[in-house]
Amino acid sequence: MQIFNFVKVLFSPIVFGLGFIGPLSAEIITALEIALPIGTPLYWGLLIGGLLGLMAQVRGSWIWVKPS
Amino acid sequence: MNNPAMTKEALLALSPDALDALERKIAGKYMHRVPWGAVAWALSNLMVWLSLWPLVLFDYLSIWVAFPIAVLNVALSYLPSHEAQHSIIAREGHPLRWLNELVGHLSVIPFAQPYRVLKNTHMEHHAHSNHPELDPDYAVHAKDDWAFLKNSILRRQPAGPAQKAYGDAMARIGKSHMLIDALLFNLVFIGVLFTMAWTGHAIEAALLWWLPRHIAQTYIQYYLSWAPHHPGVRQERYGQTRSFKSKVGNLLSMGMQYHIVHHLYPRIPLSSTPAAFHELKPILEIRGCDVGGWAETP
Repeated sequence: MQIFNFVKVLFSPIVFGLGFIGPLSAEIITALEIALPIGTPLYWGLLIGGLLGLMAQVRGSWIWVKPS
Repeated sequence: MNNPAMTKEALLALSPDALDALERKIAGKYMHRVPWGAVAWALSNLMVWLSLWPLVLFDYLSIWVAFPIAVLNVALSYLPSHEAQHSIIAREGHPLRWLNELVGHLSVIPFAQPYRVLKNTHMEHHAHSNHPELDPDYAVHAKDDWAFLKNSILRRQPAGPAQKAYGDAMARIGKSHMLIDALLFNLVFIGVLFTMAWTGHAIEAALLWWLPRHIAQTYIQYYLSWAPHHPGVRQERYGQTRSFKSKVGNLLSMGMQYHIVHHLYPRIPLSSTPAAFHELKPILEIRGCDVGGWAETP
């Protein structure tokens, strides 16, 4: 059961948001040379990835629209 | 139609048994051939995709050149495995059976899907095509192209039913234990993505695997599941699939214009389905099959 819970967390949207979308967003910010008012690209990347992951976790969708 | 024995009148004059025998005789001509092209396709496609990673990471190739190649590689990774799923390369007991299984397992690595799960759920699809509860691919049906696209994107959201149908099918046939393959594939997939992302190669990981996989999934679902089964209401042997004329031609539609032949005779290699279809067409029309744009009479 513990393994099942671990796997469930590992494949959760919030982990994917922080583990992949976060650093991906940071690299895109850097590549596009976007001027940031505060913080580093990774900080903003993790904020974007974390928020997207949270939305996907709560709503069950990465694109806001819920599957019927 | 050059063969006078295959005119509509001549075929209608045959007894049901004679028509069955003729159909099987024609189909039999196209079976029992080792599709070496599919074997070469599987292995070369995998090699090209794997080679993109060092080429991009060591700056020998631009990621923007590698990205469309990766999309092509992932999109092309499924069909050789599909040949293996039907034991077309070599059936059990054949000396080349190992090659059949090797192609089955290796070719779908870029697709990040396990061969055993794909094979078993695909057999369920063949056994129960268009059945709302028993066909694992049933949820792909949609009223038109755009509805398919919307459905395809929504189905793979975290709360979507994309994987549930496959899990349910594996449980129904008592092979849930094989879902461990899916777990391992997913672990490797996100393990690679996360590792690449946190070592400064997130864009490369996204454009070599993550995004190509999403694009290929949509493309494969469209041509292998939606188009040949649309509208997905008939379940009988001669009605569960259709043939169609694709606007993008046979290669870009992945040979699925003749998918009807595949469902009737799954042991015919993909490369032989066009010829088999055209020879079987007069019989298929008599059977009430939907031959789409290939029909001679409106």
